[in-house]
Amino acid sequence: MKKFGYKILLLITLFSVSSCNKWLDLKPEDGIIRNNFWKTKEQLNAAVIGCYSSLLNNSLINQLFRWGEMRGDMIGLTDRASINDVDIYEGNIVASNNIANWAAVYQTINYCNTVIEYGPDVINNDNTLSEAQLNAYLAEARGIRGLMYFYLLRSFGEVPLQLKAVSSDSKLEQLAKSSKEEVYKQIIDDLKFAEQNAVLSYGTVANNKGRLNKYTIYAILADAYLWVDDYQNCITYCDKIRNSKQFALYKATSQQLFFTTVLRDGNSQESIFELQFDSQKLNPGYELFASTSRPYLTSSKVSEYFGIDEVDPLNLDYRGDGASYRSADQSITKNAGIYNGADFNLVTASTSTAHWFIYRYSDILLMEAEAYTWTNKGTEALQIINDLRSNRNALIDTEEVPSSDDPEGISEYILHERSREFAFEGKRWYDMLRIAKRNDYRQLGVMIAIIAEAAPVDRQQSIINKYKDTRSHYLPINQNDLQLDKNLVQNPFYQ
Amino acid sequence: MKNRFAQSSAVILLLVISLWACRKQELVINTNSELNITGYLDSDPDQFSEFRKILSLTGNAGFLNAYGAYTLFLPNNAAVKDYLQTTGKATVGDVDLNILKDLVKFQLIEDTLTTNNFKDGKLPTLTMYGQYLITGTSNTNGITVRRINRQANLVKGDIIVGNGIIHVIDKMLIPANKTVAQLVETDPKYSIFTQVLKATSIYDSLNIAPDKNGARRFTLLAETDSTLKAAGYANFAALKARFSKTGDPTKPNDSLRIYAEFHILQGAKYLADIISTTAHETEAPAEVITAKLSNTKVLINDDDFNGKHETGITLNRNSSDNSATNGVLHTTAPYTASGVTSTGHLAIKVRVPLRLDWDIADFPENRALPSIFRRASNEFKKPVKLSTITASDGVSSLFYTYKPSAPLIYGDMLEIPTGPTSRTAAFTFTTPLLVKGKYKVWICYEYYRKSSSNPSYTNQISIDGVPMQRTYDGIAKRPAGSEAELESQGWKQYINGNTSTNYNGRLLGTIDLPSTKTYSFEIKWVGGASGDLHVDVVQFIPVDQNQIHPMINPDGTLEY
Repeated sequence: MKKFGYKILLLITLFSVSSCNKWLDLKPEDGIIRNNFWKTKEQLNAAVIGCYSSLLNNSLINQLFRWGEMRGDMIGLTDRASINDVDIYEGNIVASNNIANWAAVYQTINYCNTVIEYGPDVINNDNTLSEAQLNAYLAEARGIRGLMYFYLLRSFGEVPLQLKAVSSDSKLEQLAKSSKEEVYKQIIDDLKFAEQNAVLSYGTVANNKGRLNKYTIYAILADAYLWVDDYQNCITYCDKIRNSKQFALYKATSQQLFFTTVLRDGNSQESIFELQFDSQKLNPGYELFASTSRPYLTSSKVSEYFGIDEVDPLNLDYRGDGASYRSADQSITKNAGIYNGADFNLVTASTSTAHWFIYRYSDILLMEAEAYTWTNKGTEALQIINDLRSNRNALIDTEEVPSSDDPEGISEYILHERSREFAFEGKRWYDMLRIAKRNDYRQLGVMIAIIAEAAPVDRQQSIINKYKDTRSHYLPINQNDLQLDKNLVQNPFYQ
Repeated sequence: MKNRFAQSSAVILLLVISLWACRKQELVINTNSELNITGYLDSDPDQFSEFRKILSLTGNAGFLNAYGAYTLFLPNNAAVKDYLQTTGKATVGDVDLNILKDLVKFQLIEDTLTTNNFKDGKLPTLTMYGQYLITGTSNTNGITVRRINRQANLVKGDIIVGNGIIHVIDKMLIPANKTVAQLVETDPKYSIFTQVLKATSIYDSLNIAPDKNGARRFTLLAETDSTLKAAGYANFAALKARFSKTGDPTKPNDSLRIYAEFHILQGAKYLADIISTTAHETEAPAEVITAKLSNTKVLINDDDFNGKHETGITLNRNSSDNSATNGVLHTTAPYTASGVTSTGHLAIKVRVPLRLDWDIADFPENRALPSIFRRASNEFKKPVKLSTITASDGVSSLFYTYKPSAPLIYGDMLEIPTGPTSRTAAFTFTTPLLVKGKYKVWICYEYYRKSSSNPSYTNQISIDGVPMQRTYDGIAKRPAGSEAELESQGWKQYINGNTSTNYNGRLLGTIDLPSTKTYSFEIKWVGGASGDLHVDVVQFIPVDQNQIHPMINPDGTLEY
């Protein structure tokens, strides 16, 4: 009897074990896990598109805008601005200020890392994927990663180099900061790979302006070389773009046409890389610049930068009042303006569809002019500036005549011209910093003068002294990141 | 059986023992494990043991460990040792207890101030000692540090503890021990100015501690000997000869005394405070100085007046912001603008009352709009908060109207919507600089009746809070009559060559302006229908001048 009992028990166990199969299966039934992904080139394509989608993240755009503009002098704050922005305006940047939050950028970097790490497996599973196609996809991911690190380098100086995909908590690494040189080397590595392997064209305008092709990589490389004063390389890559004859300045016959074609509709012949917001994915311009709770306005300096035609006040710089901003109520309109007939209005929540500009052809022209300036080609530099100015209907009021052998004078002119051309595109601070830091901070005075005029009167002296300390030109590491990653050390100015 | 019992009792014993061996249970008796100020000092004796000793000696350790909201500027051990060394004491116990108590009070503020509150000047709250602390920054060899009271560097800021905020500093903060008067007296570069203060007996008023003087503090703008020499006063005798006309400089109406009083402002005003307001009253009766920031310079009395620029003086940043027990001392210095250099000598300008034709549509925000100003109409959106115009509420926008077809001065006017509920109750304007004296005030406007059934539309004008004698009815027209008849009734034609009764000058009354400065000009709805006031120009005409002529041409010029 006893023995029989054991046999039954054994039998039951046997059955139950064989039926266990499903219960112990931990794979989700309504999703895809990594082991089942990375099989076909369509999946690889989807992952790369995912990297671009992550660029359309409002908090990323918001951060790129603030990094590039908040420490400049062209932004004013409404009473809806956050205390963080008020603190920056008053020259009090501390580690708890959310301007130091780089999470959105690292998120995109991680998407790129995932493609770079797992993408090469696809070729083992999908025979229709060629080596060249694979490398083209990898080029896009490394190009975006390089661009993101370039933003980090300019904003923070030293940052941790996260180059592996973090696909689970167990793969989280406690990274220390890498030096500026190491970060820069990584950026160039990524971009050089991308330069070799990126495609020349995707076949459609929207893809060519919205995804990274060879020309986009040339633009980022030119920018990166200019950042470290490598003028020859900068000129080389600018020339590659100029000689391709794929781009040209749009010859507008009116301000409205200029605004609508180049800025509002986007993907024009001037466009090199634009984030493709549309009615499906609206840009954050409405919330930042147009809604009743907008935090940002233009500062009083802006109308001064675009100047006045004393003889005919209705003759305007195409980029000025009516394009980049609206003087009547100090609105920023570059990403938030729209013409209804001849009326220049702010966008509504549903029409906030303008693209976000990363590189336009005029950027290449002015970068090359800056590189010419420092390679004894002042005349050529001034020629580029003047051509751009006449295309944009710049006013005599803002014309400067530095001598062609005065690189510092021309640099300042370029800085002023860039403030007009790229107003509110998140480039102002980087332009100020690049020109100030050149030749061991020889033109620091240019930055200080701009800062002094924009500073609140009762803090001006403190702010001037802070900016004289060049360590303050880079942001602090965010408080939270310091706590999470014990290997991170706060940047010295903020210790 | 016995064996069984032994076994089980052994088990029980073991159980009991093991229970005893349990660690003592830790009960949480604090609601919060955050350290208070004293606790924070105790947690790091390597850095703060010396100051902790001071707190024990002065008996402050207890209250700094209790509930509260303090800001402590905490000198580290090196700072205390440095203090002992300079005062020649071996230990903190050797220092006089009253001095220690004062020192502790001077490092403490009864408020929570983070580094975000640090400006170019004083902190918003007094220390418990009763003097302000000033903050700033300095840059040496490219490294910027925050300076506290020009005595210490900030080592580590914004340490948040349970009962306040700690800022660690590398030097002990020492309170000022001289009055404003003594500061001037002990600095040889002010020898002439010191004699002025003594001769006019103002020295004594500047030599009283605030606690014996109703908490009164002063700001003195002192002139150096070299400044006065450059202005042509080689010594005190020359200055006295120029100003003192009564022979007794202590008399209130003696010009030397008034000259000295003109250099004194009420309250402790550091440079950052001075440039934060455009005008400051001086101790000289009814005299103000104006202040502004130009690039990085603090300019005093640098004004546009009657169409002409008057170069002012500057306050030298390096030798200003000197704290005293009862105020602040600044130094005047020369300044050059548009080719004119001032000497740094600050004297009262004698001005006679001057007529002002004030185009109220001419304000900075409007001038900054070249495509709008005197070219097109525009709406200044609610809530109206412009540099010189503010609304009492956010109900209405302000409208700028450009109507070249009308005979308006410069073709423009402001449409000001005032009224109950659906319109803004009151708008307040800031006038241009007005010279002290007696004026008749005229409001010049376009007649506008919103609805034919509106009976009247009454508004009260107040200048610096003083209501004008007559109200302003936006839908009243002047009656027929000769110029003289109309003037006696408080009406006039103000546009040269236009007799239409749609454009009227209305006398609001007479006002005696007590000092030369800008005034607030409030327009407030008081009765009748609500509507829109169409205001073109406001005139301040000295009472002894012709009130009708010259009239104004539409291009803004006067027709004599």
